[in-house]
Amino acid sequence: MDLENDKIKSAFQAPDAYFNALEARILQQLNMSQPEVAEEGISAPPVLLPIDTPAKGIDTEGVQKRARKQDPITSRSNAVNKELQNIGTFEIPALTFTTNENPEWVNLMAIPELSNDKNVADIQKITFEQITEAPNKVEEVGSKPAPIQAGLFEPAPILDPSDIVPETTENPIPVLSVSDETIEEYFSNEETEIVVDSGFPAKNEPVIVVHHVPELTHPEAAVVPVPTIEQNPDIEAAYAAYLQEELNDPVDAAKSPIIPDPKPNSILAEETPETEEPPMAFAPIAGRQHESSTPGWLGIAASFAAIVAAYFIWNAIQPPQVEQSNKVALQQTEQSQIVKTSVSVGPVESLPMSLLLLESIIRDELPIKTEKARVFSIVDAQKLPEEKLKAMGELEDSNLSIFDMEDELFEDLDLETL
Amino acid sequence: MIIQTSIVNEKNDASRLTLLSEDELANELLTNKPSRILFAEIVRRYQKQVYYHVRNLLVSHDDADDATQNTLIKIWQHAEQFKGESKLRTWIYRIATNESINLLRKRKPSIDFNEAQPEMADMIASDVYLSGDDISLKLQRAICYLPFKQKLVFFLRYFEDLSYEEIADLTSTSESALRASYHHAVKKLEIYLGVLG
Repeated sequence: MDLENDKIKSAFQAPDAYFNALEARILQQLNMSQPEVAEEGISAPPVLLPIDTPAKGIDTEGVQKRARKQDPITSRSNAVNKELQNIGTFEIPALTFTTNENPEWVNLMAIPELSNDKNVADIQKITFEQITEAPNKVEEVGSKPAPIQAGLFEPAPILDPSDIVPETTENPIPVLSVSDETIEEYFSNEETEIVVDSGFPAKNEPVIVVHHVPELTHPEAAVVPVPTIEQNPDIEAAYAAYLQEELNDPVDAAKSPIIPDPKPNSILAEETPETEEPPMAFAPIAGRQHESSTPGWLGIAASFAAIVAAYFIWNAIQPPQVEQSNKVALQQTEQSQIVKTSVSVGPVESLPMSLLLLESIIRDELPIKTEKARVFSIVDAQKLPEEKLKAMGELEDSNLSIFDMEDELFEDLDLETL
Repeated sequence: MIIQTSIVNEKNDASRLTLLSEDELANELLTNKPSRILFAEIVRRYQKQVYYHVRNLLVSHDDADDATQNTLIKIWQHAEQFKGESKLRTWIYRIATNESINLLRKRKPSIDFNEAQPEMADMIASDVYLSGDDISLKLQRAICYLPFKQKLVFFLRYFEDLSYEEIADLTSTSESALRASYHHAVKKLEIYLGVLG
């Protein structure tokens, strides 16, 4: 490739909007605000970015879609038909509330659409009118749900709460009163699937369908079998008392959708605390341990040796004392300049030669740092004595300071040697 | 009434400055006291050249932004030090180059300007404000393998179209040495571009 003949442009291309903003920023930094300059007649470009530049609003549509998908309430909701010809015809799609639990933990067999198990009878269908007119009126349908087809639920009479209880339980569950509190309760229950429709004339029949997932009917089934806890009679007795208190508490019973066990007390009473060890559920730990034959003084000696080794390693990795003192002295000098106090910078005898030579520069010639930003001062290097220049170079070589070389740079670069 | 008259005069000055050539603008800077209107005209006229010059040297847009801002502020603060011994553009390029060198030293105190900085080549693709031209990107990456001095001469000559006389004035170097440096840089880049494909 012939670079001389084939002219290639630079790869860096900044938009004009950036330069407009840069100009405005610089003028503003020098207390030349853009309106002031414009008032003076400068044809300054506008501060605001043009419309066709990247100053567009952030497109959050994708984010909103993702958030909507992750929302368990709106994830399966259908959009409302907003067509003009459909105005006046209310078609409110069914809202389906699902759980975001691990699918392995959800009792899928309790959902009739999935299992077609007719023994699962926990579906209620309540019209909107019944909710508004007779909120406490709950009709009974039967223990078996009507066959549900995908996407369309047939209107059916309201279930009697007594029939919601599975056949295995004897005690009825608390009556499900259709009120705001109850709806909120079921909404808050992640194990419940609810489909709500309004009573307005719609293409699909307005219903409220409550899928109630049967919970564990026996409290002991919820207890994870931990052998060490079950073997402890005190813990087991305390836990039994706790279960008893929970079952007797009407407030907790009303809040929790868990169907109480018909015979929790009897089951608990039948369980007698086991005092004997389980038949070798675990190998005895003591049997596998062996007594150490190492004498105790050997451990003490090893600890002492480790401490000594750590001491030597710590000393080895420490920076030299001279550089440390130099840095501390330099920091103290800078701080004294900022605060404008007359505090002396430590013992002068301990400072290196380079700092002693620079002391006059730092104290007298360099500008004192103030709160006002960007105060520049230039020290003419040609007027400085040679020993001060040498000291500055020494500081710069040891990375203790950086001095801007304004005009003498390219003499040092020595392009002649190329 | 007096204020309105002064505003009208300043408007006339601003419109007059926009029509001045570079030499006339430098003469304006020499003869009159640096004014805000004059500085605004300098910023408007030279900010792109300064930015692209320091961007070529620093590669990073953020660093180039800082260096451009510092350069333009120094121009305003040291405008009285411009003596007219060189062109105004050369003087501005010199301040920008020094600012870039200072920034490189602050970023990497142990930097050796006689050695190439190949790590800069990796920064190009991930930075902003790049053209989509592949050959331009390859050339920019190849330039990162040049020593700083050859890189500087190549940028000023190839991209900024400065004459050898101006570059010599800027770098305080003889024209013959600059020609040799530029020749070496071009040959190296042609080899690099051949290797990079």
